[in-house]
Amino acid sequence: MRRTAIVLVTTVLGMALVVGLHAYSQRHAALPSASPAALPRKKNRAATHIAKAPRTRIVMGSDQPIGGGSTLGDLQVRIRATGAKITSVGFARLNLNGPESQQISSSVIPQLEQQTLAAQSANINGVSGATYTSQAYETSLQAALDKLRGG
Amino acid sequence: MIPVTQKRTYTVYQARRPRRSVARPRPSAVDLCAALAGLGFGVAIALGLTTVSASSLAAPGGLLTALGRIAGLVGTYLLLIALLFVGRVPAVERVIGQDRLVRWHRRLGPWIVILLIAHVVLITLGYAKGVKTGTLHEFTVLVGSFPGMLAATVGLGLLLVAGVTSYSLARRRLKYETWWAVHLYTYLAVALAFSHQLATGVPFSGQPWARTYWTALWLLTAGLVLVYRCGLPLARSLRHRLVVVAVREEGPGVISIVCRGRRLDRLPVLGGQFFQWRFLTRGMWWQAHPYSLSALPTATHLRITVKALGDHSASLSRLRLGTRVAIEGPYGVMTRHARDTDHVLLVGAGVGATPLRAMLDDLPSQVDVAVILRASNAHELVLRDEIAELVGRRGGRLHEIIGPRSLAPLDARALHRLVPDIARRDLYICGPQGFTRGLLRAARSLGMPKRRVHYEDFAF
Repeated sequence: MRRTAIVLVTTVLGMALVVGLHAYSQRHAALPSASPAALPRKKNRAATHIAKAPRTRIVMGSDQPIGGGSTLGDLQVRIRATGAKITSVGFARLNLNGPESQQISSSVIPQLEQQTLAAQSANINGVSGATYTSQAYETSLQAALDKLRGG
Repeated sequence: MIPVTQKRTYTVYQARRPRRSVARPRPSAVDLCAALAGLGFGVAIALGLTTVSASSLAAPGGLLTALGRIAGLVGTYLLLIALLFVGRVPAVERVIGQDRLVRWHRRLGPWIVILLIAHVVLITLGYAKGVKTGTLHEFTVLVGSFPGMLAATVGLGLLLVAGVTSYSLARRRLKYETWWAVHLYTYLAVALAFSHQLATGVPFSGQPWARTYWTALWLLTAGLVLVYRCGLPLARSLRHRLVVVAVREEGPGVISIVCRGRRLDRLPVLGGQFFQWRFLTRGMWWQAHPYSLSALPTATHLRITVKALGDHSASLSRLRLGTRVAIEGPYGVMTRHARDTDHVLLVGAGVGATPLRAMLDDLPSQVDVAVILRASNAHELVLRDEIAELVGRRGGRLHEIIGPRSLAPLDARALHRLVPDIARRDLYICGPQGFTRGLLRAARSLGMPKRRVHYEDFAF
């Protein structure tokens, strides 16, 4: 009896702990995620002024459905590149309406963007738990890179 | 080799108390384990909940997916707990007892299977709704193209087979060994299921802490099972090197097996406890069977007394001297530590007298002892002479009830007549299931509190 009570109380405790921490981290993660798109843009402009660096271009990828149909959403990657170097990744279009949309926009998308900047190609690992989104993203990104490098 | 006949003097050189140190059961340690298990359970549910939001629930298939995910997390967590129940963790075994832990393990089994099947069904339905495709088609996509899913599917298949063969109807038709071999595959099943959880599990994607926690949980479980189910028995067997040195008949179909070993006075065993025995001969090495010690070990020898009931115990009488023996244990909570008072009543039926015989070696000298032995005829009073001698030395009382159950019942009235102060004693019962049940009823009607009635149920 006593141990049943211990298990019940700690179960509630464990649940509250994780849900609370998650809510807390969500609130704090929400603020900086708004800024990265703005930051690199300024930097790039400064760089072109000083060093007469290669031309900066913005290229769109293909519009890709997520999953089989487009009911999970669709996306279209937009990259900004200086010469051949991808300096930032964004989206011309990002509609998420699958069961995981919240999760994907807050955690998966930033990971995909980071992987792209690190790999400088569409050859990225993708994000586990978001296979459909990763696939759509890679295809769209590849289309954008083809356009960029094809001229 | 020592001639068989000399072994009769066994009780005589038993008298000295060995230098073994045996850890006491600590209920607070189990309270701590319960608290940790509860925390982990809460965290497992919460990991599922963190992926749920108003918009994800509103999306097509959102609710099904969320429920499926929670079912998977909870089912998997309970699977790990079920493994730990039978992980032979000494701190837990000492307090709860293996019989109860195994019972809990079995009670948890169906829930795990149900939750994991629900996980598969709900996730498939949810995803199929989300991408507006057929359920079967979505299932093949999920299994075929998601990382780790093929292995997980095989794992679930193995788990289902283990579940079905453990179902009592099927269990009765199977040989113990077949069931055991199938059950062993559940460890493989658990290992196969792991990769898809981290690779495709939304609660873990981009959550390094969640990934670390979940991995640690699995490593901890695997570590405990490896150390306590494999490592410790192996180390003990290697350290003590038991070898059969005598097999002798104690009565009709009852034999004693005496083993010689090294430093047996260091074996942390209490009177009343049992080991899983593995006789390393060609036909028997792979099966372990529980037998209680029928005397506390000396520095050099230990002994079990066994009734030839099943195939295995029957073949024991043909054991060759010099056979090596591996042991797992000791296990069992029916020991001197279980008692509440210094007055005990030990009741044994037939071969059930053997652990009580070992307890008589182990009970502190101030303990006032009464013993009742029950058998259908005088030949079946196993180890009667040794028990009589030990009880006599303590100044205790020994009652022998001989005859068929109908003529010589051991009910509340008979118990009270034999041992009038039974209500203030600690009662230890060892015998067949029906006998134990009857005595438990009698003890209850005599007003004995549950915590002073000690028995172990070995009907698995």
